[in-house]
Amino acid sequence: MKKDTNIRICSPILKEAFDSITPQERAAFDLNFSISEKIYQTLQEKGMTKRDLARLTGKKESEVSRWFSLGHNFTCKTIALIQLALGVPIVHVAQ
Amino acid sequence: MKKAKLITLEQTDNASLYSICFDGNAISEYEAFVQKFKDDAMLNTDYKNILMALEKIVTVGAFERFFRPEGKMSDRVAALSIDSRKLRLYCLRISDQILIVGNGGRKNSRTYEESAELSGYVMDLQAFDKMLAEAQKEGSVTIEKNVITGIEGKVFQLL
Repeated sequence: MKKDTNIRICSPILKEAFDSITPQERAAFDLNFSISEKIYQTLQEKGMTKRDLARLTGKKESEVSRWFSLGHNFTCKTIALIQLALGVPIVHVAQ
Repeated sequence: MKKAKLITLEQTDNASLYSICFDGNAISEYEAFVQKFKDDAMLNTDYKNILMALEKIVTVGAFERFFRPEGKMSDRVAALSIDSRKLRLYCLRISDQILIVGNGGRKNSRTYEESAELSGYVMDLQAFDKMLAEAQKEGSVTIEKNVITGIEGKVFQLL
């Protein structure tokens, strides 16, 4: 994945808007985005759908869809549930 | 009859963001959206999620999974798929590499059709989509990879 530094912002209105995002907000968004993308890639690799994930986790399909919406804030409980359902680690914690 | 130009907002190797600027307006539809919600404390989380989502899309690509279809089957109107769903931003997802960002607003109704404001933004994009498709067909505008060419000085007349 490319770094965000590749982005060119020409509009002063948009530059001001992007400058208003704090490093913490950006880091949290990036982390949640990476988790969502990892789950998506795992489903792709296993030939599974969101419906399969809903069945395996015992959640409604609408809730599973929310996990893939941009800016979704994952809880550790949800990540653990998904890891167990898919049988692969989604998040590694540095030791 | 509305007239509009297509302007480039951001461009990377993976994706380009464009927006529509209506005749008589100094700023694009996306910039108007930003101006409208930048100081709205109630919608701040959604607003910033939209900004960061677009920032991410420019970096990785405008993949279908980041959007929910809106409008009709015959057009390319989509809303950015944001978690809380209180705020809607409408776009034309031309391809994985090209996104035209429109305007949007607070979602107070189940569907955009129930809101005069939101359906206005969707209809603007539907009309623009139609004119862009016609311009492509006649050859005055071409879309290749992450670039739309032929838009310099071009005015689209929306029916």
